[in-house]
Amino acid sequence: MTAPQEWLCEARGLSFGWKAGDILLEDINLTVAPGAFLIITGESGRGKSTLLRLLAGLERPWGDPLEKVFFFGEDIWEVRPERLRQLRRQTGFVFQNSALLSNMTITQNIAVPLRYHTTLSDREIADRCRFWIDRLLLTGHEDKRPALLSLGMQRRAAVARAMAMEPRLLFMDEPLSGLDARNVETMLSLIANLRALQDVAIVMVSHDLQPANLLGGLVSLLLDHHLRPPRTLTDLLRSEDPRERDLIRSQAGFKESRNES
Amino acid sequence: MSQLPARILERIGEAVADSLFGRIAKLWLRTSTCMFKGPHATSRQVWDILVQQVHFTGVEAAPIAMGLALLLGGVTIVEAATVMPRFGSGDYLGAVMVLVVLRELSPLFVAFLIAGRSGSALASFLGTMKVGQEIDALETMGIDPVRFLVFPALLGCTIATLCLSLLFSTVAILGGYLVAALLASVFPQFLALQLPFFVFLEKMASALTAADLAILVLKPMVFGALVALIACYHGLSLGISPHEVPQGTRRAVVQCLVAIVVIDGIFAALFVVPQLASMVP
Repeated sequence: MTAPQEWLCEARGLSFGWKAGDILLEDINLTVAPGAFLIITGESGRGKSTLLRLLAGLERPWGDPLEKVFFFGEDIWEVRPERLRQLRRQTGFVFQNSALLSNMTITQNIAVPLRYHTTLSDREIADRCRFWIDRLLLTGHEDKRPALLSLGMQRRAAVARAMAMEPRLLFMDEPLSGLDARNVETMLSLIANLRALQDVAIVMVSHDLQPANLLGGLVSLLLDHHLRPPRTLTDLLRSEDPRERDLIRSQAGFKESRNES
Repeated sequence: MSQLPARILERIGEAVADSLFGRIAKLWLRTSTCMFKGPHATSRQVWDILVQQVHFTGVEAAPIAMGLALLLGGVTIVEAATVMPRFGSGDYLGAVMVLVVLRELSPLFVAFLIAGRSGSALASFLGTMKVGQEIDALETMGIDPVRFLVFPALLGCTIATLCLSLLFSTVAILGGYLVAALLASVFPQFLALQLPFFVFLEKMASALTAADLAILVLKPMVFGALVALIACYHGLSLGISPHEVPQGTRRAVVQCLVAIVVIDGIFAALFVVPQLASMVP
């Protein structure tokens, strides 16, 4: 089964629970167009990160044949594992804990997908790593191992690694959590740059609405195990459902005056 | 009714596939085939990890292996030289060295050393990667963790264990002879120890059969591969909680030790029992 090619990622009817009979997510439908910026938000522990893992193919849905995830029009659970890995070369994933390879330096981490997938020379790989190290403000830290870096630097290094293969679609799991105000500002400006220069579509899970406040894009709410259709913050604030309005107002980083003005 | 035997066989097959043995065998099959798949047959990244694995398992373990070999060779030859003349068989010193050191003790000691050192390190390394979502990160980059981590570990461990075992055997024989020569100079009454080096080597060479040579090469390779597979399996099958890492490591080391002894028994059954049978008049 294939999906229309214009969607970078599409989910159809996904349901998931960690145990039999336990429903965390139900009938999730989602599409991501090229260049889109989608923020999935909701209360803690309601399955936002799990949804991102489902979309990235790290978890399998319950197994109903109608549950589908497509990357670039191809069903990721029907293609062969080698094909799925080829498709994943066009996607990136930034984990909440960064998940950098702890036995490698930052440069080596960024070089991993390049050395594995491409035939670029060592010089070209070093240049590409240098480009991302500079762009992600990691200059001077390139030869350090992840454990020696601050949380903000680790997160930026994870973005650099995810962007090294120049993906068309980037998944980000709570990229702002645990960061101080200055690091949040830095990360947001870097995300804005990525969108402007690389034209990468971003699906971000965040309980913090600052990205939506500052960078625009659409917000999808995860409520009662279901994902509500994506809308602008302004539309969500005018929603007829009071729970949607309350949820938006309760999220960190929300600035009502700015959005209602 | 006619389908009953097929169903029973199917159930048995499923049970074997789901068993620990079946799961490790599946990992071995996946690892063996993955080198022919993927973007490049010899990805530079995989090659780097292979070299690191050989260095860690082989080169870094060489000093302790050589120390053990020296002691073991010395003890074996002294024990043999003091016990065997009592049975009137002092001439069999070379055969004893071949049988005891080359066939049994050398591969076993090296395998135990690799299991304790590299097996535990591999299991805890991969377990920590699994718990820290580093394995998931590899998947999201389109990198096959089996090809990226298990394949170089398996190949590296196999190569390193073979090299280490050959080094161990050489040092054990030389060490044994040196200890014998030293003791012979101190205690001249031990006639069995008073052997010229070339006579000692000649006795060993005459006792060495093709089967011994095959065991000398095959056993360490099988042991090395087995340790890597069991350690990788336990590392990669952990969940998401850090407390599982030491538990997985312990399971890996214990199962490696048990598997080594079992495989050693299988080798004995394959190589030694037929020889014994041929001696029966």
